[in-house]
Amino acid sequence: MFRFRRDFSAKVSVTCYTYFCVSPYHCTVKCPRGIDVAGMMYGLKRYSLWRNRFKRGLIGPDFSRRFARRIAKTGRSFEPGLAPAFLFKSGVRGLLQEAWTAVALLRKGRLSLTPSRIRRLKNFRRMLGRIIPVGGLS
Amino acid sequence: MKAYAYFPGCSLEKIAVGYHLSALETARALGVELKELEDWNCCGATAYSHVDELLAYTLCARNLAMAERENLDLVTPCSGCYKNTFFANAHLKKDPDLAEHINFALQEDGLHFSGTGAVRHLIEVFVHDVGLEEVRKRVSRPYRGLRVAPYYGCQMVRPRKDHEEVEQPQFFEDLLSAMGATPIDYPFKLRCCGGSLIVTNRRAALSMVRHLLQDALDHEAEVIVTACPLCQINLECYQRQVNRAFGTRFSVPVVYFTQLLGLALGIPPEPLGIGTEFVSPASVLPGG
Repeated sequence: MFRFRRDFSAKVSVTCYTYFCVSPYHCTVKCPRGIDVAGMMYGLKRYSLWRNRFKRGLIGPDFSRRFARRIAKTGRSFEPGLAPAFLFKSGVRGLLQEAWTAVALLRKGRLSLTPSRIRRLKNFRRMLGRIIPVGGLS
Repeated sequence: MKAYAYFPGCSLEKIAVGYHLSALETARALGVELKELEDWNCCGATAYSHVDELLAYTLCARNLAMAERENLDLVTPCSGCYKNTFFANAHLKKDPDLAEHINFALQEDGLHFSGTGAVRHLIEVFVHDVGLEEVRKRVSRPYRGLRVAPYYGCQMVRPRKDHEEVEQPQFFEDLLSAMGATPIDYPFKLRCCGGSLIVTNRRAALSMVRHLLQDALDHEAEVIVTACPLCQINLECYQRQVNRAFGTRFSVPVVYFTQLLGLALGIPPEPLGIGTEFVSPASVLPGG
């Protein structure tokens, strides 16, 4: 993924496999040279998002962006607010199975239909806005 | 009674409500006071670090600053929150420039990070601070011969936080033994459950869940016990989808270690949130 040229500038290519990494950190703890491989994968993902360099249709980048926007909006994660955008990506069978899971979670009292918010949301958003470069992600 | 600032994390609000309830109940029974952080926010999970590292640290720093204000160490039952908050704390302590930048942002909420607190996983508090001997003494309904698969998952043990054993950890097994259960040793106890791949690459995640469940069953586990909400959801709620996808017939109960411990301490199932599972543990857990 990193290829160094003769002038030592690095050519970075992000493949769809980058987004298959869910950071289990096996590589990081096993690397004999102490390289934080999982940290590098995070770096590649950030790079691909900043430069908009990823395969179209890949769910990972879109999921990360939507997740970040959701947190900036309410301060907390809300699965039912994120899921609908991806329900159709797994085909009709996947959609039906996810719908079944959602209904079962709802019946078990494990799914909320309204997002939870932090109380000092205005302060929270201003806080994010002070961080460069992405700011409040609004 | 030792007190901690309790950071439940977003999953424990609803989808893993059984973990939240049982964490509070078992902590109380073991003489641990969990004071919930008054206005905690999401730790950023894994997705936030893909977008911006500084923002991800800022989210964790806000929670850390609130815990510091109470003069308490932060404890969380969620392995993802634990990993993110632990490393944010460590990086900010090590890098004054980073801490200064983030403190500039925290001013907007009247907070300040100074690096005086520690970050702990709830299981670590039970094993090390309460102690296995104390747990053993308080167990009133020991599990005699129950074969339990301890599932560590990834982020509770990796990356290495200090000098602890990450290749063959034993603290989960030790806690289960203190409850009178028989922990099984199986190769997949440290493997990934698929994590957020369940959203971004469903087929791959279901395959990972399948292999994990199969490995636990091959070693004659009667129940799988986890310390992470995402692992519980993937391993339990998606069993039906694994069965559909691969023609298997899994029906393995997957509960939180706090629920198993709570029952052993004599707490009834309902306050422990038992009864909200997709695969009922009633057939294997007494009172479950």
